[in-house]
Amino acid sequence: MIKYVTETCGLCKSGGKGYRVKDVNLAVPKGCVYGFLGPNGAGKTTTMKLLLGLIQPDSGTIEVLGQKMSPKTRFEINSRTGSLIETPGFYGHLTGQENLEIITRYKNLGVDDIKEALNTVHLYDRKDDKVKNYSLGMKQRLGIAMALMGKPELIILDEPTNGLDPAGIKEIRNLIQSIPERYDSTVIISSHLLSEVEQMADYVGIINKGQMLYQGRLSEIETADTSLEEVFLDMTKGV
Amino acid sequence: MSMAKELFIETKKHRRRFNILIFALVIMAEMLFIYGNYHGKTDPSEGWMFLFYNIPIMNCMFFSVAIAGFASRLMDIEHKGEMLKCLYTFSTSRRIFFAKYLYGAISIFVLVIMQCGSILACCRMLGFDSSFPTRYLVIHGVTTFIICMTLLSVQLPLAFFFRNQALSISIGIMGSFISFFSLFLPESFVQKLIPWAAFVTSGFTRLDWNPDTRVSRFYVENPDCFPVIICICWIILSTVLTLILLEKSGVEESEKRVSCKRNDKIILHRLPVEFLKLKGSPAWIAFFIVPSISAAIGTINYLANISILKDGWYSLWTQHTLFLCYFFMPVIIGIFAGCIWRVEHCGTNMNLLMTHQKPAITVLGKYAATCFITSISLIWVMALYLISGSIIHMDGKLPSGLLLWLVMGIVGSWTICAFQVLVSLVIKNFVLPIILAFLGGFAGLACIAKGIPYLTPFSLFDLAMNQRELGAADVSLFAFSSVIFITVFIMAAILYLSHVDVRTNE
Repeated sequence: MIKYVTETCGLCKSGGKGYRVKDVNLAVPKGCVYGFLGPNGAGKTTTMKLLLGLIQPDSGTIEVLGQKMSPKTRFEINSRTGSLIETPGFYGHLTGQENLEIITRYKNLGVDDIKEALNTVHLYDRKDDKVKNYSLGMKQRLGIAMALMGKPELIILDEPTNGLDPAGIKEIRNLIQSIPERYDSTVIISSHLLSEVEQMADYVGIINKGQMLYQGRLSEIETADTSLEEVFLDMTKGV
Repeated sequence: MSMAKELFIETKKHRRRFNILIFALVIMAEMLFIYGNYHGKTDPSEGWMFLFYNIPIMNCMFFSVAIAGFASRLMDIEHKGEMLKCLYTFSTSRRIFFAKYLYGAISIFVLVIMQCGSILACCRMLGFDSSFPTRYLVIHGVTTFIICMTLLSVQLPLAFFFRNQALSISIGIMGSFISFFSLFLPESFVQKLIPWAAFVTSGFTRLDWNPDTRVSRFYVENPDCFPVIICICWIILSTVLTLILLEKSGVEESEKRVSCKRNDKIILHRLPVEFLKLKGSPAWIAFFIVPSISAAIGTINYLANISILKDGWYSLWTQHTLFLCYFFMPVIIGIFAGCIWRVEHCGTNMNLLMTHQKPAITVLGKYAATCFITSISLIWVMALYLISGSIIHMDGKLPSGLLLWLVMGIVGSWTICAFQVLVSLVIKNFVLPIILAFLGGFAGLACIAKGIPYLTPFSLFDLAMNQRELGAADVSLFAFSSVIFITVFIMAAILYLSHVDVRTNE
């Protein structure tokens, strides 16, 4: 039997006139890279925020790392996760190193973790620059470094390759692929770049207009004569 | 694109920003103040003169701050969404600025109309004779409009060119304080040069107070045009300056990249995390400079009035703490609490914070940092008091309860800290909580005057620090009230942070 690190049941969140997310049943197996696909505004970020307890669902339940998500358990669960939601958060007037230092204070980590994180995303040379002077891609790298600190059991990355150059994209792709083995963790990654997900993910979930359209192994959706792109466009165009 | 179209776009941008509503609230606050303090105390026949005498004094405080806040709101929408980058591709910086200026002028016109209406309403409310010559209402309206426009001409460029809105709001508040205090000093030429004081110096109603009979009588004289002319000069000067600056302006990085020294090693900081986040922020400086200014003014005031103030050390204390408690301290606490939350309200930092720390720890950490700096500041106030007392060779013994005053003052200030930490958490705008603190200072003053000092955090602080009333203060009731306030505000902040959805990209 497959062990799931994240399971949701009938997850709903309304916003504005309609639902931002409706009846989402997500199941992420342990130790995989889970690609979360959907067009812009499909509800990917909302779902990820729900998984982290940043927003409260209107109905439905969320179970993350074996615990039910609620305002009370949120901190306990989040101390075992790492995340990058929307654009990276950072204190612009502080240097890259100082930003990571704040994370180490929160997570009770040490100097070595900062060093490792800086090296992983190749920011060691720029660690003494203020983050507001970083380029878009460097900010993104810093955000990824923050998410990886402390080798969390579950890593949630919302469009992590935004703003990166081609070499950076490849680097991050390799990094993400290696995470399950290196850290013994599970990765949920959202993207609208199909080719990216195709190369990284073991499982995929496709969401459109707040509803899950497909969830399962990537290998099952792709057949010899249809690519992920064709399936995706086919699924999302009519709904 | 024509100016009319720019103006139309500007009004579109301010949809659901309730700017006019804020102005209406200011007018309401003034009316309430007048009603609360002067109901049934003035002779109805000269009531209208009473209004024309008192309303400019209140405008000097309320309008100054309202316009500073308004100017900063006009610009804040562009700075927050980094919209200037985009706007500069559609239009010129000059057009963008003057569309805002024009929009501001129209809003201020509405404000002035509302004020004229409120004068008539006050007459009716308080039972005054409202058949005074209309020209006085017109003169009041026109001068008020010109002065408000002067303030806008000063505030808007500040808000436009400096991304950090703390600067423009601080200048607005400082200006209003300086002009307010200048009213207590003998009339001088310098006073007429301050645009914030022009509300009063351009007035046409005077108060004749007979110290022997203790009877005050209002009378009308020709309005003094000089301050208004000075104001017009200010408008011209600031417009010219703005035009020159706009010519040179472009969208640039908020700070030039400075090459800093490279460290190969990683050296960790030892500061608590909340202070680390404020690294490089000048917010704490006010806690030391403002008490110094207050101490200097207090000492000078004491020396000037030594014939009336006969209680030695005790009188000196009242002079030192008078303005500090009622007006300065709440505002600087408000600014600090605003800064401490602003770092989290920026961008998606709230996501970062909420996934890494318990809400309770976050709120308590920020509260502790605010209380810490405030307490240090109050100890500094005490030190300044002792130093200036010994410099002027004060005779007699120190007041016996000095230490108790300080402890009560610190506890009292903690209630204000709790209030501001809550308000700045809930209101993501930087300026509004500071204006609330400013108004809170007044509310505190009003509560003290009405004999209900235990009802607001601000009056608790005033009660503790300004010793006029302390003889009657009930220490246990004070402690009880403080504990209740602190608990309620901090619990509310924790509950809010735990249960309300995290919103970013505001």
